[in-house]
Amino acid sequence: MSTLRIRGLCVHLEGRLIIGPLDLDVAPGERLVLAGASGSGKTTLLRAIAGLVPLTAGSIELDGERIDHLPPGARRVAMMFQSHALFPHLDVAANLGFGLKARGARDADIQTRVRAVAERLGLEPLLSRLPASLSGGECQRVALGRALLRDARLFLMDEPLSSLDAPLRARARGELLQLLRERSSPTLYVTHDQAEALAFADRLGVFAQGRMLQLAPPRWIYRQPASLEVARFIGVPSINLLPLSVDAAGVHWQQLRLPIEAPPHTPLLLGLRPEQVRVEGSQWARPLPGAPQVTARIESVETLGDQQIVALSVGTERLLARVEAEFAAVPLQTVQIALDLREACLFNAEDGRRIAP
Amino acid sequence: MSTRLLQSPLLLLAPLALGLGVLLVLPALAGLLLAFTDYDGVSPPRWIGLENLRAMSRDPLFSTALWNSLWVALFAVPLRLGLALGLALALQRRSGLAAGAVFLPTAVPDVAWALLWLWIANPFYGPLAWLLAALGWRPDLWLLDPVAAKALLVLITLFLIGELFVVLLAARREIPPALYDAALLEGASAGFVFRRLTLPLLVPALLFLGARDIALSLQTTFTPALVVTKGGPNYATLMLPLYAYQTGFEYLRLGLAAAQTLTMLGLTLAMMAVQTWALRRWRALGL
Repeated sequence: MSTLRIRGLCVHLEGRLIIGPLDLDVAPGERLVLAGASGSGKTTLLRAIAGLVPLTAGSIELDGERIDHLPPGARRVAMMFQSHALFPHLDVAANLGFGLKARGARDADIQTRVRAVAERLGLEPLLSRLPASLSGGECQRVALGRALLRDARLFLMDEPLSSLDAPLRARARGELLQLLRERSSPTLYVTHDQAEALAFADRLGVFAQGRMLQLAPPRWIYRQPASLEVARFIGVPSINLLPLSVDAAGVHWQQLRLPIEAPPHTPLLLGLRPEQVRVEGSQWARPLPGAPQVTARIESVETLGDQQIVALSVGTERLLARVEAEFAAVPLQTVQIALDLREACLFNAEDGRRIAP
Repeated sequence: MSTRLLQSPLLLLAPLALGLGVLLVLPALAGLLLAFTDYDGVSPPRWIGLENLRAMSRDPLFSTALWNSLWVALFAVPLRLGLALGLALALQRRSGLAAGAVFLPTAVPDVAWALLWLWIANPFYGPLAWLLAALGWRPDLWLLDPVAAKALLVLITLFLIGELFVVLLAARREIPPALYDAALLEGASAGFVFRRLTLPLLVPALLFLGARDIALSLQTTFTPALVVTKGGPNYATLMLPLYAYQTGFEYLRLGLAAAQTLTMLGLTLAMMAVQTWALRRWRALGL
């Protein structure tokens, strides 16, 4: 049962701080997903843990053993790359067995273990094929097979599904989840795909500029983002942010008085997810006694199959609402909307931090 | 002239095509015809069919020149490729300065390079003699030894590896870094990575350069053989192009010289065929 423990990790590249200082614990069998915009340092973090990028400070422990001074090959860490990194001149069998051969295993052993993994992943018919003749999904499975053969204490996955098309990605994600569940090693999974992050994560870390902005279960991050940056990053379509004014008479959005308390003299933003904006007439908008109501105009409607996203305008403000697919939304029509403030978040507009709840 | 005509690709190609035609294609065609004639450059050429080829096959000096050329190619090509590969791998992450230093000798004109070696290899006052003496070895006049003289030609060409180096450097940099990361994480040693990853992925470039270098070595030995060793001692450095030059311009047997040159062309084409075949085989592997 491996545990990953990172303390005070810093990485500099060309004298510039790329990551850190970072503390992180990943429990045995836990899948921790790192999400963040490109250039946020998440891939560099994986490479630092793997030993492909040197640390400038801090420590990495696996099973209580310091591994940060070990060469990459001695860390017993398996990594899956975005490009799959298959060796183009070797057939699938040799790709799978590359690491075993490099570590001096006997040919008969290599063959047995490669066959076992190939059988598990349905790669047997491909064993003598070269990577150039494989589809994206097949390449991904070979890369996965190679990682499984590593006998690793930790799995590092750098957007391993990003090169697949959407339907294939969903299936590959399911297979990957099942395989990882069978193992007790922790997994660090990097992605910029939110659906993937939410589906995969036991805990989700939102990463930006080499720092962990928030680390929590995905549902928690969606409901209670720690800052404006996190709130904006997680959720499709993105969160509505309504500027509030606070005076002696109370808290107002536009002319509407809101039943919430807020510190005076602070520029505030109210964060409301599209499902917290309830459109009158929608089956998803059950009556909420006491919820502030306002008249809005429907600007446009986007159908997503199982639901619709309605763009509304209230005065000069625009906001998005989520309604069921059957809802008859007609552009330019006016509707009553109710704001569900029970789980709404308040942010300080200046420093972006969440104030309440 | 309208701009349309000025921009036509044919017009843009014309100067080069004209130059190639006058300086390369016409002489080559003339050479092809001359190979079947007896021609001394003064009296008109006389058609003699395959007589030049027959004369060549009976000429012991021609077989010596052919053997010498192959001998030098046999040693020079693997050594040059090995050296260029070693330097490309060693310098792939360095600045351009080191790479420039490797390329520099290739940019020196042939004759200047050969004259420099005439001084370096001088057994009485050349630095090579000092160096060998400093190592406690005082060989005889090495330019009188057939093997040593050929070895000197090989040594001279060992410094002219700029093009090989640049191509191999580019080929090495083309290999995706993720492959090396993957190998490193699997615990592969440097030797294993070289044998199982770098070398196989550089094979297409090495095959191409090897074939090209063999063909080229038939020509590049001309200047050092002419300037430094003058074909000697006892014909030990008489290379095919030098022999063709002597036959044509010293003994004025231009027809025979053309036939000798044609043989060189045949050799070159054969080598290119082998190279093309090998590359096709490699491509069939999906690379």
